[in-house]
Amino acid sequence: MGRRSHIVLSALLSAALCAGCWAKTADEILLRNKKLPDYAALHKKLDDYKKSMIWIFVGNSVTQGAMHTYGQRSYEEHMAEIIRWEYKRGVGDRMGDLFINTAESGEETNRFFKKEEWQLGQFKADIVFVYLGNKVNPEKKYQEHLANIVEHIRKHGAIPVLEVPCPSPTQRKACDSVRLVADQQKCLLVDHQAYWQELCGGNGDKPEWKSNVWHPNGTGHLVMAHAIVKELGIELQGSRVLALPIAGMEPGQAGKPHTSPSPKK
Amino acid sequence: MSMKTIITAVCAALALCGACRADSLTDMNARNAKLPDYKALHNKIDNFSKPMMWLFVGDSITHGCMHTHTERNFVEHWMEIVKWEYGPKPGTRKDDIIVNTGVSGETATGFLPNAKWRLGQFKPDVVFIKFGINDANKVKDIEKFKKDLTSIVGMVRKAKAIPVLQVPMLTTDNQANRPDYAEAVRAVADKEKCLLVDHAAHWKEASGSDTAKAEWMNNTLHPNALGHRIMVYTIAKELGIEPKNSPTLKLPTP
Repeated sequence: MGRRSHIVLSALLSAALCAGCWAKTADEILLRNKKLPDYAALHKKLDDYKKSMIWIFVGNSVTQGAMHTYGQRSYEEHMAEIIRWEYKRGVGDRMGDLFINTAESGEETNRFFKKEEWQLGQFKADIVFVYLGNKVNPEKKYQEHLANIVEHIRKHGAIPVLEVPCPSPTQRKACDSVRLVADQQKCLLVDHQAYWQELCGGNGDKPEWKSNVWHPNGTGHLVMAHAIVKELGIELQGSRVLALPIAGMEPGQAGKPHTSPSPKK
Repeated sequence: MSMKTIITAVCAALALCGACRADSLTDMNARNAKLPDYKALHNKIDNFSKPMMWLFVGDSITHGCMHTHTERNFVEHWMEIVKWEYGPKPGTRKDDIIVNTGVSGETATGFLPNAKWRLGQFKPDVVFIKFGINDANKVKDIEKFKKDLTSIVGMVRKAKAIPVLQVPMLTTDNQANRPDYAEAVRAVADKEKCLLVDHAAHWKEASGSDTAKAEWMNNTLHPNALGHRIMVYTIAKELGIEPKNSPTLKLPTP
């Protein structure tokens, strides 16, 4: 390939990866995830009730879920209820699963590697959610860090899930970086920013779902759990968590899981 | 009688009088404060440069699902207290990790064959142990319960962690052997010189009987969200871990 052709191809690739080209709705992101080997691997694990799983949540203050929910559950805590009690038949088939939230306020990709053994390495994780925005790095560096984190999670034998942060004025570039790395690494993706935008329109930044500019409140965390369930195709019947009312939404607008309402035979 | 003797006698009388007035939370905190594990626990929690792992083993109440109607259970409240509210500034212990391995329907006897998954694979600093509700229903052998609970305490100590036994809260099912199982937990804690959180004593003080207050329960056996709030309050008071101005502990006054 000549130099000129190479430049044209690169430009086309870049255009294809532009912000407008990402999957925008929860349905589209579910379809995207379904094409990945990790999706099949995750569901194989989920449906093997005899083997309990360890779910790790790595992240920053949003994942830590302190203070800004005013005593309500964080999205990680909602997911623990969903998986350990409500999953599929709603009778605690996966109650042996363990949820470990190793997130801490102020965490970022740079610091993760220093604490990796404590936050991840000491556990035999099956699945690891990563919610780390970008505070200080050039986007390229941030993308490198995310890719390294994904690689480390895979080395630990776990399935990585990258999370695009909730809408926030300081994380717009970071959102595209997370999507880009997820595509490059063929990694499962939960796109909170896109989901909030799908539900609310505009830039998706809904003050009723926030405690402050950066942090979701109790409702925001509930919406985050919705996004995870829908975009990872987690099947539920009669989830009480997802039936909770959401401020500013009609009943069922966000509460209805996209996934099959019936258990697999 | 010398003046010194008189003063000593008066002081002793005042102290006894104080003990009479003290509520169960204060009494239990005083009991715990005499144990080496209390000092060890406080040394750990006040060493802000070293993160801790807190492990909870138990039954459906520790599992904390369904009956809180999607609100936080006592383990999740504990996470907020430790990881955010404790220490000189918010988030001083944000590196701490809380693991809840409680499962619905579990007994002390049933825990033992699963101990590797629920305890052995971790390196905890503190392990909260709460069994008894299902042991009284299913196993119905109180000597075996004591033996198995003692084994769990031994396993925790072998893992170099601090065990904290919890006496289950009261229920509303009027099952006759519930007080016996509560006494069994207290007896093991005394024998093993183990930290104790006595939910039953605190609930009894509140209800004035051996039956739980209905407004703290979701059904005959399980606390609701308010019940879980009361439980975390009891833990904080009896272990002497009470962050100043804690929003979690300010909630409904028991």
